[in-house]
Amino acid sequence: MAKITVVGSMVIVRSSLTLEEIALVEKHRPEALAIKDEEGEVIFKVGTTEGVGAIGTYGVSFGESSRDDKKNAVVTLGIADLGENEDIREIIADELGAPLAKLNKIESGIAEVIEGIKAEKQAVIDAITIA
Amino acid sequence: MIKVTVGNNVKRESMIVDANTTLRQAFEAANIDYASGVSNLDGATLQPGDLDKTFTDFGITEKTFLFSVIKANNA
Repeated sequence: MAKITVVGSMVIVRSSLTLEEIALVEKHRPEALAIKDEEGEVIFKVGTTEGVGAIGTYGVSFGESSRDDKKNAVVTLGIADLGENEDIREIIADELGAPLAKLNKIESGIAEVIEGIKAEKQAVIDAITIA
Repeated sequence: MIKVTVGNNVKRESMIVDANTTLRQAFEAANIDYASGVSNLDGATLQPGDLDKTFTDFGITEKTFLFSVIKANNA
């Protein structure tokens, strides 16, 4: 589940996945990073990008990693014009609640996908003979 | 991520792409021939070189329409 940290007027959304894991799934099983509607149209997507990343109605783009050893994918957002008495938790829930709920839904099932990709990759590696 | 509706005179499709995707990549992902028509983004005609710019370069942050329109003679 993604975690949110607020520092001053900056909001850092931290994925439970690393940037490399997201990139791996994006390359081999992009459909696992998407949510579709009843008609099969993609309505939300998670992926990697360049720069600080972004969160919006249609998805989350991660572009950076956390500085600790876990190297989780992070998105850094700025909140402008924040009043002193405003509840930052309430603002974040209002602004980012829907996309974060979808992000959590995608993250919840991604571990098995990563394991599957790694197993497939290993099977290919094991089948290679260097002559 | 942004929602892009890509199309031409006869077909269109919506896709969600990273905002750093170029217009050319979006056309190609949708399998739209952009070489034989006039390309436009949200109704504005694109200029040579614009296809290799990203949606971010055009200030697109949420959704947009990208079309290649073939104009028939005498139409």
